[in-house]
Amino acid sequence: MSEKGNLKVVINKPACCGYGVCAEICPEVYKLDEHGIVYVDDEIVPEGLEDAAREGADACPQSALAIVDA
Amino acid sequence: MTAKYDAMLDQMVKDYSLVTNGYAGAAPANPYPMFEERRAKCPVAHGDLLQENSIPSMADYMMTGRPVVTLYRYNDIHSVLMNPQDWLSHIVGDGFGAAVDNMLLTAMDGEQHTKYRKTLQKPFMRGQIRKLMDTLIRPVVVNEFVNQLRPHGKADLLREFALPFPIRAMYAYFGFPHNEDLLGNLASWAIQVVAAPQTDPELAKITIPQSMVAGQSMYETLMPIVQQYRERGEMRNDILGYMMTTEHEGEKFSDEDIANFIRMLLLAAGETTTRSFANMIVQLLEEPKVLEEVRQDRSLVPKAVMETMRRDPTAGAVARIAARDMEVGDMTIPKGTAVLCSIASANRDPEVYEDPDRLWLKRPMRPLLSFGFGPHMCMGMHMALTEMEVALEEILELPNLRFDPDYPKPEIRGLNMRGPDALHVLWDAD
Repeated sequence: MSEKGNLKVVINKPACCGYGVCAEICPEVYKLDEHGIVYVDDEIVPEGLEDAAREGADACPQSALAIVDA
Repeated sequence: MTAKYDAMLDQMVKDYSLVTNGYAGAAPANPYPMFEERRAKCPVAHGDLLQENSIPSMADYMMTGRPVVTLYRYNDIHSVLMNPQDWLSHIVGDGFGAAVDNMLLTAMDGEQHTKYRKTLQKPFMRGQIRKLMDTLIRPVVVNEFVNQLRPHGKADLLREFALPFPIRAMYAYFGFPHNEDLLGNLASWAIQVVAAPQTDPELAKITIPQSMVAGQSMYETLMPIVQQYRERGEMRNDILGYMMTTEHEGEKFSDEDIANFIRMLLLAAGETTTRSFANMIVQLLEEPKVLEEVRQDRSLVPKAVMETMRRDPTAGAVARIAARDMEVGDMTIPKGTAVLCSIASANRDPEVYEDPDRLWLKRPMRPLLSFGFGPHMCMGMHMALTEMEVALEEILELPNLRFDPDYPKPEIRGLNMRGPDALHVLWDAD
């Protein structure tokens, strides 16, 4: 089901309220700073984590995350 | 085990059963066939699913006759919960908000909610809670519960584990002194506060004043705890310590504010985790292959927690009220109408979840609605998830865990606050 090719994470930081659901689902991609706000070490989604990264983005209760073609 | 501790557990079981019975009403224990039928025939339906089963409904707790529409589909419910401007939450505190001076985050809307949530959620954020996993939660689960139970080879996991452990862990994180009377009383009062709304008006005449008294008792018990914590002067890494040092709109909280917040948090602090844990274990024991799968591969523990919460959620329904005329599906919903969102039905919507009745740990997940969704999503979610993960990991260490054949098979029941009446299990003792 996963789409091949590079995907990247787009973060709308002002929308992030620190719910942390993304990091619950895909801690490999989504990191939380000391305020609980999301960041990524690398915006490119590592191979094999496409589905989990998408799941984590979809699950944001603020719609602060998107996965797009790199 | 002391007689006093036994008496506390008896009281907890009694309170728990009261809640279960209240939210089971006249509904079938297994409501999923009914949901399937309604999702297919009338997924946006006039009337209140809970009230028609004689269950107090968040859509109209005080039975005022407010028009209610019940939603059964995942996508409809998801869009309602993601649109807090048009779908307001203030109705969810009707009936018991007064008992807690209307300090209820769940019943706030707009900017007031955003500001309070931002301040209050800090100690509940994922990073904070994950730090407690091995420093607070696991020691409580292992030393105070699982190690005590292990030699017996049998237990009612509801009474002896699922009821007391979340409260014990949560109260430790609040920074309360360890005192069984305190734990038992606060937990019992919290249940009396939220039990105020009743569909039977005669019963409500008793429960509403009772909830006012319980709310006051909670406050009077919490105030000296807050004051003693402040007097001691040592601000620890717990909720009381956080509340005393943080600022909200440029000001520190007073002891009165803090007692009020703690009271609000206590309303949600224990029983919901009890039920979600019990529902998880019942589902896993009903599917020994899935239980074995997670026993073999512990990385599946978080999936087991999420998937069992999807398949049989504790919070089966939430409600909102239309701030203006709205459309859902092909129905126009006039301003002032409430929608009751059946989370339990949404969680088995085949439009969203393939083979929805199956307990399938590796299923492609959709955003989980079992903690609510949108800006009101359960603030204690990470505490609940972490407690459940730790509890499952440690319970998996009991070899050959199975239902005790001397008791009837546990049945999860109710349309909201779902749970089994008991959870008798056996395992091979050392």
